[in-house]
Amino acid sequence: MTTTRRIFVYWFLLLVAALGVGAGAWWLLQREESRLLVRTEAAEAARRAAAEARATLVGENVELLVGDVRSGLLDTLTNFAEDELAESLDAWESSNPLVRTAFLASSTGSLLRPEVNGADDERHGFVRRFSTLFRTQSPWRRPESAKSRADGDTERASRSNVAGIQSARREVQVLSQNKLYVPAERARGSGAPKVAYADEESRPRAQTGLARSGWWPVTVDGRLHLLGWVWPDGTARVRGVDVELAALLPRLAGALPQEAGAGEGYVLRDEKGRTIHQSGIVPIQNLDTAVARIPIASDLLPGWEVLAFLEPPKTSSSPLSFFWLGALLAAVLVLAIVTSGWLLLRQARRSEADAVQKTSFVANVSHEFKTPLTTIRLYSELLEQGRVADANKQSEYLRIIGRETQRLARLVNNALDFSRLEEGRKKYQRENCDLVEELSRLLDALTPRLAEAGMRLIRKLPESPLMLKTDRDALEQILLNLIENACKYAASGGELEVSVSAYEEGGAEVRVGDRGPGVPAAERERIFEKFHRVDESLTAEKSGTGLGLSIARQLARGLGGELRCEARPGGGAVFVLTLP
Amino acid sequence: MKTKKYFSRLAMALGCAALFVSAFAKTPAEPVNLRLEFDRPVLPADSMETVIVKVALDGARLPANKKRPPVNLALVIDRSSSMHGDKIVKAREAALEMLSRLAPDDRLAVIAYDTAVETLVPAQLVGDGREIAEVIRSIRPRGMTALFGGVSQGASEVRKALEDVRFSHRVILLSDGQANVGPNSPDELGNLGSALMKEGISVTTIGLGLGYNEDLMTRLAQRSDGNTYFVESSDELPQIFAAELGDVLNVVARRVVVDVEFPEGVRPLRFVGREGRIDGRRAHVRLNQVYGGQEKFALIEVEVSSRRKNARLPLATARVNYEDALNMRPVTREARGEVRFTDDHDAVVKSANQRVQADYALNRAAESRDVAIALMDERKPTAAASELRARAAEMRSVADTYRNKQLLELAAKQEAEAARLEREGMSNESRKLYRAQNAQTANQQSTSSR
Repeated sequence: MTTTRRIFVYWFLLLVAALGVGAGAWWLLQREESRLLVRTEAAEAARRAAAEARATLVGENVELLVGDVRSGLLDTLTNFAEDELAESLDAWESSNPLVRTAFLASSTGSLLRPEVNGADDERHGFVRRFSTLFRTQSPWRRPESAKSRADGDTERASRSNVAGIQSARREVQVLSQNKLYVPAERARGSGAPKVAYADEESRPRAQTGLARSGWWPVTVDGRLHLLGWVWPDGTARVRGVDVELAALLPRLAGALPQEAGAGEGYVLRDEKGRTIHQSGIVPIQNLDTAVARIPIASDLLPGWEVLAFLEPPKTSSSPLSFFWLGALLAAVLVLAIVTSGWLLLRQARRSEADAVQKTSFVANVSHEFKTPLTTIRLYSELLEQGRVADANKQSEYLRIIGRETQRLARLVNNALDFSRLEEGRKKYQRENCDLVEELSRLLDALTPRLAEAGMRLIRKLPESPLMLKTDRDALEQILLNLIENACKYAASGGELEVSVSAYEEGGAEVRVGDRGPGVPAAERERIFEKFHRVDESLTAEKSGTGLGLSIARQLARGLGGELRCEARPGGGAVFVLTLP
Repeated sequence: MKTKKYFSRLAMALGCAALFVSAFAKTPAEPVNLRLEFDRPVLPADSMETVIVKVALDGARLPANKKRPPVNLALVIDRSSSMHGDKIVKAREAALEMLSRLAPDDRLAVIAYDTAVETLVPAQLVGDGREIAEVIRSIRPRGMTALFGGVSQGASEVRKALEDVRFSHRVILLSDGQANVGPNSPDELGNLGSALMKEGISVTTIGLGLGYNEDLMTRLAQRSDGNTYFVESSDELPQIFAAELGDVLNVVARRVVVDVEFPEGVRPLRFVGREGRIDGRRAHVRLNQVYGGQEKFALIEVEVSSRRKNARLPLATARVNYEDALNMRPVTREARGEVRFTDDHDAVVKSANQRVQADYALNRAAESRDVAIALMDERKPTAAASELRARAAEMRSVADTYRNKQLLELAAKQEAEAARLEREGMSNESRKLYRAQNAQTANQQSTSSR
């Protein structure tokens, strides 16, 4: 009992330790989780800030590009000589992709060029769109529309910029300053002579007079137009240009990062909310998920904006799942410790019970051995001392010694059989024999023993022989054990009935019934367990190894039959042995 | 197929030889010959007359011994999800076929667009073409249609070698769907075409199937002086690509600018077919290129004030500036045309240039079909049919006066179309066909898909 308690204490300590580990793991995980959460939030905030900064940069790049176009086109316009303005504008318009229409207007806003004579849709369209607008709201009519602001707000020189935008800027600068679209290479004419329509006469001339100029984004018929105008001092006409947006838009692609960072996306949208350019990962449908919206300067491209997008962080690396995974692992660990502790405990208790049974077995066996040994010693001493003179008595004593020796031999056989059966080494030698004859012989041999125990033997054996293929010795051992058992515990009943009946399908049944105290229903199976005794008081009265029935059942099963205990009608117990 | 090809080549060679000989007889090998023709060189006296002036440019065949000028191509392929299946397979095949016909010193860029634009092959010399072929084979459809972005990117790849005078520059766009990302109206794409034209880049548009926007595709091609094709079945793609490449490989003159000046008493009214610009008594037409063995022309309606009988009038002076694609030198040529006035009606009829009349009629028919499309879009089939019939009646009266059989045929065809329009309405397919044919007529495109 103390050992069990000790084991229980050990197990309890293990349990406490395991639960402690589990609780510790839980606490650590929770702490780690919150730390991860904080870190993820910080990273997310940093990503947002970076995306916003890049979007701002994109916006600034767009502004720079449009600013370059503006200043380039206005410079070119300013530098055209007044006396050959018409020809210069014609050539400019037909060769510069950025120029949709070049126009001239009076100071009061009436349109002087283009004229509406031919069936030129483009010019018709221009006149229809702008003639009224110029007369009513042209910016050069307002004296306060001050000097060119071109160099002021868009040429933010100190801005750090990337190579992509630099080359895009170079391109639009070259393009917008070109009066005639003659690529530089060609103009230099390495090998190739200069193309005839490159107009040498109209090279930019430095204009000394100051010029008023402006940039006028205006929406007509639901479409944005970028108008640039210059009014050189000392001239009567305002020169202007309607910028070809279709040519400008593709070049704005240079403002977006060529390769957006992982999970980032940028979109340049026009005033109608249409995507003009995009780079990186951009949601197809829902553009409202933008993390930043940077509007483009309204004096350059009103209503345009740059949107930045971030891919939502992947769920697989979320702190929540990390926590639960950790918790699961810790729980498995704790469960494993507790379960194995419990299993060990059970095993220890079972071993302890076994040890107790074995100890009592040894004590019982020793006790069993002691009784016949004492008897043998007593009678052998009497004979040796020669105190018994009567020849009848002498022979009776010798018979007693012989009987006790047999009993000893039986005990030893049982112990040997038990160990053989335990180790599974028991071998059966099956041969044909007559069950009735075997039983009769055995009962004849046992009659004195029964008589001695005060029991009457009732045989109910069939007349005809009953042939079976079985191991004679095993069968004898089983019956011997059953009868010995009856003598030991049911002698008070004074009756032992042995009956045999054959089964129709082959095999037979042997019933050994007594009129003893019987076996309680709850014990009817347990009595076949090794070392089991029905109750302690009985053990006190009657010695025994607790092996007899266990061995009998194992042997019966080894023969392919069964042994069970039933209540006998009219009191007592009956052991039923079935044989195949 | 092989023999047919062989014969056509033979015929081409013979024609080339004949042209070559005749060219040699008059002037030394000129890549472009400028001609000025009128529908009637003899006009009735004492009446206000409208004359059709045809300014024609004949591209000479490339001499067989001379290496053709290299081309600078950007192939822009729609890989939106609608291209799934046979379409993309055939498109890849066609692109590979085209690649195989390019020389190592040609330049090629491959751009694919869906929701976004991706430059699969940045502009580079073709070389042995193996890497490019690998990339083309890997094109798979997905996403939406960023057509504007795709063309822009194609143009920007072409632009990398824009300053190299040896190249002919071209973007070839293949699409089967409506542009739905970025600018998407025919106007905007047309303006993009105009802007690219100024840089010397033409965009050829190939519309595949019945789902694309024909207004947008033809406008883009026409404004940039490129070809346009309507391909109903993807099976035709390889042959269309081949035809297109045939044109591009055959460029003999680039940056062609034609100026026509008219004297006092002659007022240019408008261009018919090919677009141009009129400033007072001057008319301008720009072409990005002239192909060898093909005739490109512009038609101008002019009003001539009345003259006395036997008067002679130098009606127009045309001047062309272009860049000889073979020798990379600028060329200027001039042509003059004169009309005579008479009171002899027969002489006027006899003088009529039936070819110019037919060209004019064809382009007028194309114009009327465009008007008919607009009317059909407004659900006015009767008005559309009567528009077509009115043009047919005009043709018939001219045909009767000048005994022009070709015009009679045209008028009959036009009337049949008017009847069909009233009977069946205009299907999506025939609308696409009309648009493509109209653009092809105005552009004098040599190959059409039908």
